[in-house]
Amino acid sequence: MAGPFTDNDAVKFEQSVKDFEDKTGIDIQYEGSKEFEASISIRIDGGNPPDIVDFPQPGLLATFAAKGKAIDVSTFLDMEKLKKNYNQSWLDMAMMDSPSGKIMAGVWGRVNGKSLVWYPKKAFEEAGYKIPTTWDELLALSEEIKKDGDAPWCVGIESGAATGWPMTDWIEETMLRTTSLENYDKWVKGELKFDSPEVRNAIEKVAEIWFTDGYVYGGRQAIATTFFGDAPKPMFDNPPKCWLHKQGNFITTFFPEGLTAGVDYDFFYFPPIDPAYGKPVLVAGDIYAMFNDRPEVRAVMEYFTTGASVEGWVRAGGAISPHLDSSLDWYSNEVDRGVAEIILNATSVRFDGSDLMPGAVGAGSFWKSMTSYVSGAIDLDTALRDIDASWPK
Amino acid sequence: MKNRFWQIITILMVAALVLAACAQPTAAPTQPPASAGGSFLDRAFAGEFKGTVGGHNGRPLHRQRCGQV
Repeated sequence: MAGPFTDNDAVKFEQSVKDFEDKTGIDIQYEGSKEFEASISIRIDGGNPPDIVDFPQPGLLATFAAKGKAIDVSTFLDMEKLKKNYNQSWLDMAMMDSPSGKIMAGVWGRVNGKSLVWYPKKAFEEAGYKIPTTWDELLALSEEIKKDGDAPWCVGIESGAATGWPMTDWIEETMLRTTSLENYDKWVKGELKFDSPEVRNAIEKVAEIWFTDGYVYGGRQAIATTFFGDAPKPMFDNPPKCWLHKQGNFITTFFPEGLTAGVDYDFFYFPPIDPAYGKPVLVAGDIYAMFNDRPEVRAVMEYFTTGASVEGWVRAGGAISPHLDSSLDWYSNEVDRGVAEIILNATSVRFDGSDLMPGAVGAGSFWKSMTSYVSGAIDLDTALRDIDASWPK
Repeated sequence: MKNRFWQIITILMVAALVLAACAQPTAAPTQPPASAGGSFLDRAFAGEFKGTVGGHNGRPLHRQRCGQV
């Protein structure tokens, strides 16, 4: 097997499959690399693929599926069992184009949730604020905090060469809450233009918060120059200088030291906007794909469709299981358990759209143009036209 | 002449051995017999499959070319 897990993650992965190895006699040899994206392409394109590869970005797997390199796992997995053990969205996201048509190019393992709004719990409760469950309630809370004299939102999108990516997450969130999954999927494939009513509407929802006077700590001008990891820190000043921060579950590593989850901070689900689109969750995660077909490889792939395959990792912390046969009791901390609950209760899940788009857009013009738009250097019309023009022909 | 004879015999034997080695993986079944019950996972837990699922592709039953390590 090959993948991007190294150091602690590699150890946790190996521990999580040890029980399977002991019981079956199948030896899973894992090889992690920090240069995974480059090295795996050389191996697969060179005709020497590992048996199984863990892809943190399904877009990369899609390129191999399109070349006919990935094995269609639906040819040997029981689809009824899969439907019982995954939200349908995970199965949909595993379907990819191949020379012989659509195939199920892999199965999902460890995942992360992004649709989370963090807040300083103790101060929040002392101030009498309530967790919003709808978009209108979120705006009402923002207004309430502003009237109390503070900025409701902590926002920062500076990230060196990747500056802008947190805004793309926000837009993906509002897309999922204002239009259909079909439109979201078309958008990430380039079949729905950025300069479309759907994408404009999603960006305007973000602007409703980001560009309203007094809603963002430091104001609109500070967003593009505030490091994303520093953005939530004013939440923990005494008293807080801002109160709400939307980010994935990894952000806690940037919180000041000494804080306790569930005491000093907590999070809630980024609320729905239009009830017609349910309670979607934006995710990232790892999809396992198979490149050599032997019975023991099939058995390992099938194992990865079960919660048991990540139970050890979940218990050790740092992994969330998308499997419906997983138990919330496995989670060793409140944050992981809460994120898992949100993902398991989602009406739909979709992968980070910018990670699915071609690099020139998803890791290029989308970040850049949105940053210029936020800083006021260009207007929305120009930003959208520039992104559309950058899409590879 | 005698040496020539043994040279030819040796070459033929080596060729036969190489061909046998190359043929072996493809002779193995890519799937267990259809009569075997249960999923691949069930059968793995029953100890039916052993081997290594590796970071280096040693002996895949599909796509293996003779000489590939």
